[in-house]
Amino acid sequence: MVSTTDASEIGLDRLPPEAGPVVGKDRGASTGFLLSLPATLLILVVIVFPFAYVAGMSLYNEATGEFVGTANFRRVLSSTDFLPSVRVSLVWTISNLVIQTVCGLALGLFLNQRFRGRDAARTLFLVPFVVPTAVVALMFSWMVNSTFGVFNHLILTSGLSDTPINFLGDPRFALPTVVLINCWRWIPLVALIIFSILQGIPRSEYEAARVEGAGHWATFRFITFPYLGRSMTAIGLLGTLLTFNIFDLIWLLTAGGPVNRTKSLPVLIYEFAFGLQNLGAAAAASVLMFLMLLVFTLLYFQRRDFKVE
Amino acid sequence: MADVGLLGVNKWYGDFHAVNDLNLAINDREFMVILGPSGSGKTTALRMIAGLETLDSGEIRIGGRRVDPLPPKDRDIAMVFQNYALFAHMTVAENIGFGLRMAKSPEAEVKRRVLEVAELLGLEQWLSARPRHLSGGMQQRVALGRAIARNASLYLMDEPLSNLDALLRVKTRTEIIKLARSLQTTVMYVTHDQIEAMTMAHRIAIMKDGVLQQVGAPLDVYRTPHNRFVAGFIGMPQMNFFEGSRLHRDGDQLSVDTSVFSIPLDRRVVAPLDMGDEVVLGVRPEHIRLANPGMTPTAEAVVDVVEPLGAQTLVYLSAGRMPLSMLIDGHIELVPGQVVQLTINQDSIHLFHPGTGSAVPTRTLEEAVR
Ligand SMILES: Nc1ncnc2c1ncn2[C@@H]1O[C@H](COP(=O)(O)OP(=O)(O)OP(=O)(O)O)[C@@H](O)[C@H]1O
Ligand SMILES: [Mg+2]
Repeated sequence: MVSTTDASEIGLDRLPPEAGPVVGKDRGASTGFLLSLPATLLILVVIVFPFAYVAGMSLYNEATGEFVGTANFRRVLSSTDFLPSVRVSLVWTISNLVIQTVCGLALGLFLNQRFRGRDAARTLFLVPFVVPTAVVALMFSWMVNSTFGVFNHLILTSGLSDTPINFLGDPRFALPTVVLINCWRWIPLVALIIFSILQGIPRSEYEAARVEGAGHWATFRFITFPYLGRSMTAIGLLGTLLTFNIFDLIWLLTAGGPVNRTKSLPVLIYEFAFGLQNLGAAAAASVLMFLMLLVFTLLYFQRRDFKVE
Repeated sequence: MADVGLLGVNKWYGDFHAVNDLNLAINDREFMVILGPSGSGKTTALRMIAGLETLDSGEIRIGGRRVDPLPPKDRDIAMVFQNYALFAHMTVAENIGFGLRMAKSPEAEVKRRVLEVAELLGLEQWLSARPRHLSGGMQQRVALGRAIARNASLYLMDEPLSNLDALLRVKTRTEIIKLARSLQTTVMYVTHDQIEAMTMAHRIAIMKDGVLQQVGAPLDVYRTPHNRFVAGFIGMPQMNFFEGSRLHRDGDQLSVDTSVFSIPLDRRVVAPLDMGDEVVLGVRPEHIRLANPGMTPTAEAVVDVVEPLGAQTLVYLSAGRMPLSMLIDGHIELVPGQVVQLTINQDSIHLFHPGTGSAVPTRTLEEAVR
């Protein structure tokens, strides 16, 4: 009779049928490997390889091709723009997340109410998200323009101020304005996601709460909120990473200005790469940003919500 | 502790009449079971009493107080939902204590009451568990616990046992009865299981298509069903119905004749029926017996299928071309193909109008003389 070791040595096709279970196991493992191969390759090609390439770039002087060690990193860290950019990125990400969560939640709860035209409202909600970023940027540039923008028209006619406000040009207003424009774009999506989570909460729990005498606030706090909380932790991570990485809208609206007030890390990296033509420094800044996000993600995963019970 | 009154209650879902002119009075401390097949409007009726559904017309009173305009929390009710509806993100203790906390009871009082209820239901070890980690039976108890932790005037239970396995069902059934007794409270209990209804109820209200069919004590409903639907719904195995039977008079002797056998009647039919009119004869399987030798049998039949249940045996037979079933003592052995003689006691038969299905009232001669 053929032993187990023999079976694997002589190959599957020549095995006698008696060795069935062993064959099944071996074949299972190798099939599993084969099946996961495309995904593994894909990850290698689209994620690991480009990252390794950028990481490699950060160690070279891209213009001369010479190995420079940590020089690029030192160049980035000693740049007077770096720390302010980190600060802008943090303010950008946190304010976006807070505003989007609060407004998205309110709108989501509102959508969850039954009212006439709710379905139409839901469809309309997708519009800001469907409009291309370039169009959003152009549209809002006009609307907040200090000489002919509709907002300034309203501000002047309502008497809120007697001089027009240069929303994107004034260092005090630039970042808040860009944040709000970005929120305009994302809040409806957040609201729709929250709405869909709300739809999944069993009605009977709400009914039980009503019978047990819970008011609106207690119902939200003890039933709606715990249900939202769970899904929101996962979405929160995604949202943070997505928001942190946004470059296009900021670049199109302010190009990082005025006086660097909206120069977030992605904008800084772009400037290193294409403004200063220093690809090595851009790569080093990218690696630093990647490490920051990685640490954040790892810390985030320590949350209890992510632990499998 | 309260009596409950439903007065002309109606509920429509669009064109669908889910509850049709429901009038029902439940006594203080009564255990009232609402029984009916799927879709008969039982849940709808219960939800209207709870305040989870609005009435289209009619009135609901609890303890003499009109409650139908009030929200659930002002009706002084507790409810056990069909699917438990436990709060998924709360522990067992938090579930049980939720109502008390909402009522702003002092925290010490809530803790004491939660422990008391947990002890009563055998949930002490599970107090800090989440509902989804519990078995169906345990979840059921938590749902019960949440309902009884508060003192309500009226407890509403919507098929609370339907998700349990057979054994647990019987056990929990007994527990609920004991509980209701010890709480000295009014209970409305919805089920589509007639055994639950028969064993638990003080009175049963039977519904069909949103219409209340009959209200009565379990045995009354069993013995004198008001219509063919109730007769068929209550009793296991189901009552035999012989369609196309006729009332027949031969001299002084009244009888009801099916196409193959005839049952003499010493009773007067007190209904607008003439001799020769068609009726539906109903006989429960447990009221058909094997004829003793020497007796004049009512009918002759051939055994088709024998289903031993243990103490009793259910036998399916054919009398001529008419199928019927019979419940006999478990120690009697019959074999398929065997020809048997049957007797049917005339006191145990039921007559129904073929069209309306309502019971044909009859009176014995003695009753008529009295
Ligand atoms: N919200 C609703 N909208 C439309 N029709 C409904 C609604 N709720 C119930 N119905 C209909 O009303 C009828 C009665 O429903 P109900 O739930 O009261 O029946 P039930 O007697 O409790 O049945 P079951 O034993 O299946 O629980 C059903 O035919 C159901 O389809
Ligand atoms: Mg129901």
